[in-house]
Order: sequence, then C-alpha cells, then structure tokens
Amino acid sequence: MARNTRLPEWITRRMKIFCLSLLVWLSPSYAGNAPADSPNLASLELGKQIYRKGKLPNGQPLHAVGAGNAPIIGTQTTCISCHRRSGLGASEGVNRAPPIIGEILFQARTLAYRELGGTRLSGKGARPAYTEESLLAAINEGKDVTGRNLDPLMPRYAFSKADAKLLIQYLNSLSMSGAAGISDTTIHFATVFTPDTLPAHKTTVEKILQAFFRDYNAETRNEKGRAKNAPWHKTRQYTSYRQLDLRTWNLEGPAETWNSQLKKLYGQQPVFAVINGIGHAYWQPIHDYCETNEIPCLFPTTDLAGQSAEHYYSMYFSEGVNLEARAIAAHLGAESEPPKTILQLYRRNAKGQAAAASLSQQSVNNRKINVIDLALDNNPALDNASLREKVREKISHYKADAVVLWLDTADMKNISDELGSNAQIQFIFVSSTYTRSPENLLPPTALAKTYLLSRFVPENNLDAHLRRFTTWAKPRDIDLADERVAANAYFAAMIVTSATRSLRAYLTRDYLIERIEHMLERAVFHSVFPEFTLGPGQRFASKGSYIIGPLKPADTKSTPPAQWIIP
Amino acid sequence: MDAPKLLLKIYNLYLLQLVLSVCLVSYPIYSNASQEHHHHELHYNEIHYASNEIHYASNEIASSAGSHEDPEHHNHHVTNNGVTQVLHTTYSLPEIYLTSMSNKRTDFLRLINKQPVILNFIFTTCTAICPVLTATFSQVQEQLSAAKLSVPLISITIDPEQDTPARLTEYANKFGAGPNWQFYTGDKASIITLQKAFDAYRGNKMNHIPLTFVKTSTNEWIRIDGFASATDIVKEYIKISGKKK
Repeated sequence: MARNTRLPEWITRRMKIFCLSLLVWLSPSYAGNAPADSPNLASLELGKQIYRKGKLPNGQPLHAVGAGNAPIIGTQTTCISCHRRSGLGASEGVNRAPPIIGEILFQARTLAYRELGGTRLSGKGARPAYTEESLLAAINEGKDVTGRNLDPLMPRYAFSKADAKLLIQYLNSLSMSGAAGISDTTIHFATVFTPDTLPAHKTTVEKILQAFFRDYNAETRNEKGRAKNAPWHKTRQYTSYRQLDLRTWNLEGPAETWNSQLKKLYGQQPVFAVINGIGHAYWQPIHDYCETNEIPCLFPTTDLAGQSAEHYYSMYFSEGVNLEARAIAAHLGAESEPPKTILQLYRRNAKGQAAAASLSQQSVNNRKINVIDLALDNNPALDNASLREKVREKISHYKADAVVLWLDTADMKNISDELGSNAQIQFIFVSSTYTRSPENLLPPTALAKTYLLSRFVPENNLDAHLRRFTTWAKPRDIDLADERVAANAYFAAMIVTSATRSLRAYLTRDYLIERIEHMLERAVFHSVFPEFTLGPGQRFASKGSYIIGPLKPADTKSTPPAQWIIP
Repeated sequence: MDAPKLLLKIYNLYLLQLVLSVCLVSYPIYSNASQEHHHHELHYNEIHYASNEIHYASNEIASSAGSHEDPEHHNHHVTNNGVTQVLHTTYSLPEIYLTSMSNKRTDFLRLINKQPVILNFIFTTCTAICPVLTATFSQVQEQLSAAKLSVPLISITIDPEQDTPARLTEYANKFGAGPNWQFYTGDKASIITLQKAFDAYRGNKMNHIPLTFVKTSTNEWIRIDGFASATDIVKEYIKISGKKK
C-alpha cells in the first residue's frame, strides 16, 4: 500500500502564509504605499519640529498664507494646530481638519457600497492615494490629489521638496493603531492609589469604575458579528470595538519608589490609560510617570495636581490648592483696603508646602502684600498651648492683619479662639480642601471675618448637583460617604468610556486626549465642581474657586455671599 | 414561482434599492437655514465615524446663503472663497458687562454705542478658526491705520473660564494688537447672552463658526459668515460708512 506523503492541509496553508510573508517582508515595497525613504531619528525629529512648532530645519519659522489671504507665520502655521498631535484631525463647527497621517494619505480612499454590490473610487469622500508630488502640491498650492481646491482654512505654504520630505517622513511615523494596552479584544486601563488612600475610598472607587466598565462591556451590540456584514460606513466602528478591562495599581512605601513600582505594574500588563485613582496629598510621581511614558492619566482625585514643563497626558479636575492660593491673591487684589501682611499656617508636607509656596509667589507678584509663613512640623507635634502661643507671637511680631489656614479640622480647633479674639486680624481664609464646615469650628467672632475657599459646589447645593450620580449609585449599593471621591470616579468613568467609544478606529492615546478636550464641555455632570470646560491644550477642567464669606454661624438660615474667582 | 420569475423579482428589488439609495444620497439637506445645523452634524459625524479624506472646499453653504434672507435685509456674496454670506442686519443687543484686558468692568452697549466697530468672537486655545480670524484682524488693523481710519476692533472670548484678562493680553500681544484693538472676557452667562444676541452661540465652544461683524455709527450691522479677508472687511466697512455720508 502506497504511503500517503501529503502533508495535512493546515500545515501547507501555514507554509504558504509563511512564504508569502517572507516575500512581502523582503520586497522593497514592504513599507506600504508610503513613498518615503526609511527615515533616521534625526530627520524624524526635524519633521516633528516642522509639524509641531512650525520651525524649518534652517531654524526659520514656517511662512504661509491663511484663509482670507492673511499671511501667517510660525506657531500660527503649525500642522499640529489643526490636525492635532495625533495627526488624526479635528473639527470646529462646520470646519474640519481631516486626518493627515501617512497610512491614510498614501492609501487610496475608496468607498464600498455593500448594499449596491460594489465600490466607488471617485466622487465625494473617495480619492486616489497621494504621492509625494501630489501632497506637496496640496500643501503649497491648495489643490487636492484630484485637483479640487482644499478648504480655505488650510494655509498655502511654500515648502521646498527637501523640507516636505522631512514632514512626510514624520507623517508616516504617525499611526492610528498599535497603542500599548490594546489587544484585538480588549482595552486595558488602570486606576492608581497612593499609600495614604483610605481603604473605604479605594473600595468605593473600584466599585464605581468596575460597575461602569461592566455596564459598558454588557452593552455590546454584537459588534464583532456585525463587523462581518456591516454597511460600509459602520465597518470601522464595529471592527474597532473592544471590551474594557480595569486593573488596580496600589502603590506602597515612600514616593521615591512609586516610579519603579509603576514601571513594574505596567510591565505586567500595559495599559492604554490611567483612569481616576486617588492621591489626595501628592500625585507628582504618577504625573511624571505618565508624561515620560506618554500614558494618559485621566482625572485623579487629588488636591495637588502634578506640574511639568511638558504637560500633555495628565488631565485634572482642578489644579488644587495652588489655585486656591492664587484665588486669595486675586480676591485681595480687588479689595479697596487689602491687608498688608498675611500669616499663613500649614503642615510641612507636600500639599501644605505647595499651597504656601503658591501664595508666597503671589506676594512676590503683588508687592503690596507680605506673606509670612508658619510651618507646623508633623513630628514632633506642637502641643496646643505652644501652638497658640506661637501664632500669637507671629501675628504680633509681623503685625499680621490676615491669616490663611491650610489646616485640617483638628489643627483649626486648636487656634480658633486665638484668631477670634485677636483684634488685629481682619481676614481669615480657610480652605474647604482641608475643612468643609468651618462654621462648626470657629467662634462667631472669628466667623464674621472668615472667608471659605472652595473649588467645589457649596454644600447647600451639593445634593441637587449630584443627583444624576446618586440615582445611578443607589441601586448599585455604592457607599457615598465621601461624595467628592465617589462623584469624581463616576465622572472619570463616564468621560473616559465615552471618549473611548468615540475613538472608533483611531485607537491612539493622543487621539483619546484630543477627544476628551473636544467633548468635555458637553458633559452634563460635573462631579462636585460647578463648571467644566476644556479645549486644546487645557488640562484643568474646573478653573476657579469660590470665595464664600464672611461666614455666618451654622444655625443662621441665610447663606453667605459667594464669588466665583478665576485667578 | 418558477426560476426566471424569481430572478426577475430579485432584479427588480435590486433596482428599487438602487433608486432609493441614489435618492437618499442626493437628498438636498442644505436647503434652508434650520437645516444648516444638520450640515454641521454631518461634518461632525463624518470626521469621527466615516471619513479620512482631505476636506474639499465646500460650496454647499454658499449655495444656501440666500435662504437666510429676510425680506427686510439684503444679502450678497463676496467673491472670496472663504466667505459664505454677507448679511446687512440689526441686532437687539443685551445690557451686559464685559471685562477688559486691564481687568476693568466695561458696559458693552456703551462700548459700541454711537461709533463704528468691527467685532469677532474668538478663544485663545482655539486651534483652527481663531488664529485665522485673529491674523485677519491684525491685517485689518494695519489697513485701517494705512487708510487713516480709526475704527475700534473688538475681540470677545467665548471661553471666559479659561481666557482671563492676563491670557487675553498675552494673546493680543502675540498678534500685535494696538490700542485700537481690545480683547474682552466676562462671566459665562453674559458671554453666552451676547453670543445668542448675535446668533453666534453654538453650545460647545468647539462648535463655533467663523464670523465677523461690522457696525456703523448707527445700529446697522454687517454680518460676514466665513473667512473674510482683511480687504473684504475694510471694504465692507468703507461701503457701509460711506452709505451714511
């Protein structure tokens, strides 16, 4: 009997695929249709400078003629301005900047009409692939690859062939896929907690985010199945559908070690973005990690936002205590008789020191007001009598006529009597970041000269403001003990999942940031903040602080005046 | 049913579908003012859901411009590619206060009262439309100065939470704004009221549209939709002010 020497079909099929792949890989056109030489890092950087800064390799700014024939120069001409960092474009009203990444420009755009049984290769929405020459003509002459005029909003440049080549190489380096943290089926997210987070807060946040993700994943409309037979305009929507997955990253130990912990956790499972999380007193190391590694860090609950020269990937609810310090300066700057010397008290920790430094900086800017510091050491703690004595001494020595308290409830209780009875003090500022209801702590004599700084919706309006969230949370059995923490988690989940859904096929981190910038103003829920607005390059959704006061005793029915200040 | 009849029926259904599809595709959605929003929505959807093509210069808006026509108003088109409509009109403007770059509370009606002004709406972090509008104002400033015409230019932010007087000053300096070109912010409610009065409010600031307003010393306004060139704006101003002489 003759022996059957034929290999099984699956092996021959795989061999064929392997051989074909090898051929494709070895062929000179492996780089796709993009008509570019393989760039080196230096030329990519030059292309990036043109794209992002409008700066030519010879150091000169880019010149162009804009709509209405207005000459424009430098940063006004940058590609990034309209087509954004992702290169995937954006829209403003009826004006639209289309995607200009290489893998889109250098591919023919055909529209398939499944229903009509064919594809359309010309007409609106379809075009042949650009070549380097036709793209240069588009950039310099304002004619697209079919010879039609581009939108008047697109400036007309005067690129040399060499400079255009650099720009094109950079456009080819941009992509709409391949972001870390995204598999064929799943988009991974993480939420981060710093070691000082209360276990109850952690549980609340995890519960909210998980519930939101569970709902999102359950709301599938069989996208994968639909993708196979989707109408042409929905194919990309269905094929880019992914389930969402959430990891919890618990940081431990001193802040200096957080970066290496984050690196390790990311190594175990890369994530597309970090969502919410808590770092009440200190978020800077996580901010730095996200900026360095270009990972979106979206809306953590923190009272002290991170800072960096390049600030792109971290979005915050509010700048935190730094903003409050500036609000005090702005408020006092508008007073007809502002105080001459402010004594500020704070605990010697990251948050307290940042608030104090920010207010001191304002005193430098506004030379009319002096700011004197009194830092309280965490260890050893001053006993109450010594603290009161020290405050009295400082007020008297520096002739302070205003006090700013970056102090929590316990510390405030200790010095409240001293402040109330001191006739020299005309203004007392307290921060709702530290204490929510100073009415219950300060004596009436002190209240009459006390102003509450609050970045949040006043307590008497909070229930109504949060109703959308509490209605969602109640049937899910979510603890609302700290509504700031809980509502922030809910908002972060809401905006991030909406933005992720709106990415469609553009699954990149830069585009996620751009989508949030674009859509946040439409949000109907603002967590515990009164107003939210974002735009290109804006990173703090809420930009102001109330100054409420002078305060009235807790049993008074009328509410004190509140002024929203944007410093 | 025998096979040929079945095939014929399928063929007829196919034809019907073809006709319906063609009808749907060519349905004129830009035919009147109320449907212009529809146009906007379509663009919005296009970019996020279905499109990655270069944006062609659109004639659709221009062709619908006449549909805004009010019997009492006179419309005409400017030949410039970027302008979609020029409308002579009047506005009932609200009594609101704005905040100047030097943080001064300013009565808006007093600001524009009894003098010609050229006005636009911008915001400083806007990436596409506003840099063009502002660069154009910069040119308008130069042309007016060359023609020895003293007309105040007013730019009002539609992002008052972000655009503080300090930020507006920085932005004004970037574009070389002289003393006759002032930028204003205000509280959010006042800014929305003002935009509504000029029919310039589009909800989210990211949905705003390019507009320029030219006013004579009376309450007559010219509203220019689209990207007018500086020459167009100055020409419109001279035309409307000359008419009053």
